[in-house]
Amino acid sequence: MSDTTDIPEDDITLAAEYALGLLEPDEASHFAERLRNEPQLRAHLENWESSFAELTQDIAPVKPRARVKKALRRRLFGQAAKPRRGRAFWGFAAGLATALVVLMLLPMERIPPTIAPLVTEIAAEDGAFVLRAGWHPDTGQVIVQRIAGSIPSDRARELWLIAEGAPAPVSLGLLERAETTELVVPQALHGQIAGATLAVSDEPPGGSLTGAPTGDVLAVGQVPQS
Amino acid sequence: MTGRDGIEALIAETALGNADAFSTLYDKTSSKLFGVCLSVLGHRGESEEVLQEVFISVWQNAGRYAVTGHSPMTWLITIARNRAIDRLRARKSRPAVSVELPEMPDKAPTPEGVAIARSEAARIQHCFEQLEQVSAAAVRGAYLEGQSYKELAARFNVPLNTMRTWLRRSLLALRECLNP
Repeated sequence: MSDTTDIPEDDITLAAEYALGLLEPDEASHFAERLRNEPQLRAHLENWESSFAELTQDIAPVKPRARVKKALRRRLFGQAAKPRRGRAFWGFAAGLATALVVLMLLPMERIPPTIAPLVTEIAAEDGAFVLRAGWHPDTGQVIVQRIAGSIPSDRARELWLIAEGAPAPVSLGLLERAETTELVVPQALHGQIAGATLAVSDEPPGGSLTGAPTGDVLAVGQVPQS
Repeated sequence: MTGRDGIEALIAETALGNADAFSTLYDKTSSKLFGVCLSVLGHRGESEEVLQEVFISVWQNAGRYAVTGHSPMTWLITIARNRAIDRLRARKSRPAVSVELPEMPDKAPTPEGVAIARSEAARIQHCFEQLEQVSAAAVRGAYLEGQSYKELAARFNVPLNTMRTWLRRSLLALRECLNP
């Protein structure tokens, strides 16, 4: 279990009350704010959440009607009954065997919407490959800086956009060997970038020939909502 | 049956946008989560809506799972319980319009494949059993029914501050038992 020795008693009960939903709205907001900066407080909250979840132990599973899953698919993936499968959707059978991926990082900066770019870090699990990507809505560009790692001379790196509710990843283009890549994003995708997932895959020179990722997914990051 | 590792892998795949894995994750976990929603809301239509919201949240936030310390079912159950309680509270603050009859699930043990790790579960159950009756009921009332301190105080017929003090003392004792 996590180290608990230095937490003042009030924080222990506060975390439990937050997990139980017993705090007043302003107290809850204040607590949520603290969570962002205090990892030990977050660990305490997670301990409580884990313990309280045990209270659902005796709740019997109940199979929901089939229509619920259908409605969910429609909401997430549009009109198609099932998402497209014909084309090795992520090439994942091959891709994830090597599992270099790590998931989602918090946004680098919390900045107000409208003018400033949305910035995210895209990184591999071992930190060997790290990018910083910024979405600039005013110029319609995603600007990618390679912070760590390099691109082998016989392979390419392709950046993909997986928007919320999109059935398949969309290529934003290849990363340059230079430190900075400026990618122009088609107008039709501008509304989908905020809150979307960005991923980098390993591809043959010139990029994927199929319109979908074919190689390993090397790194993933999530664009903040605002 | 899919053990913890299986569910975890499905969440990881979902985080990469793998819709097939997400579909399988739904198939394997939706019954338990629907049971939780029904238990809180007692209303099938609302529970179905909340279940969708839960899985939309799972789709969008699967990438965040890895940075929590949670077991996969704890993470999923926490999302489901929180959403259901939010909906319950929203319902309390507006006049009831639906006349659908409530459906309460039976109390029965969960299948092995989706249970939280057995030894940890036993320890947690033991610690809950050590709580005083009122405190145990208050914790359940808050967690499973979204009761506020005000409602709990009324329920046990004590002043608000007394309810707070009792519960906080019990939470500290519970914590001592869980992490000796």
